Amino acid sequence: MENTKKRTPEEVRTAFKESMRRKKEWLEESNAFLEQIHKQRLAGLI
Amino acid sequence: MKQLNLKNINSRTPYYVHEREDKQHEFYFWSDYGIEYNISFMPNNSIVPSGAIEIGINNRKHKVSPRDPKFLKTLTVIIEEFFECNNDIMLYLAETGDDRQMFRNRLFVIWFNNYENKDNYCMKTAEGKIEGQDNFIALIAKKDNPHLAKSMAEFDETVEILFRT
Repeated sequence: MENTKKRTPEEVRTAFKESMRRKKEWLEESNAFLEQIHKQRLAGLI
Repeated sequence: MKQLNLKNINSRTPYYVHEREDKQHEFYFWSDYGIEYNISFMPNNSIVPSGAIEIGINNRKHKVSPRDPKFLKTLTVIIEEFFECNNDIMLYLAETGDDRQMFRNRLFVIWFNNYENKDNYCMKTAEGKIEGQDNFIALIAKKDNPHLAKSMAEFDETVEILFRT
């Protein structure tokens, strides 16, 4: 548990937008990974 | 975040769960309906600045399984293992720009409300617009988490700034 100082509204909004950006990035990477797993399954590799 | 015990997970899940070799704290499995799922855990201090872990849930077909009880059980076991290894604050967040995402969010809430051990946990949710985009946030924590009150207060403060001002 970190000790935190009070954030300004601007800092809160910026942090949230950044986390949504990271989420989108993760979703894109995850989609590519799942496609790869799907192909491996169809090929009987896993 | 501490590593989840895959052996513990697979001793209780109806679907066999694999751990990604290329990424830490990420898991995958596939359902009887041929849908592959990816579950991730990543640090996220944007909502609760003193510390939280965000759960990511994704599937290849981008649709919710038709009430697949084996999927729900597998997800439940993974989440329980998370709380077994880390008595931490968990976050779930998503944009709700389309009906599919809204349905998924509702399903997450329905999952929690029907969860057999939900009395040991608490959940807080919030929805609101940021720059015209609808967003959904949920916090889940064990009731015995020593930082629960502080984390809840931080969650409320963030939501107030994001959605109410």
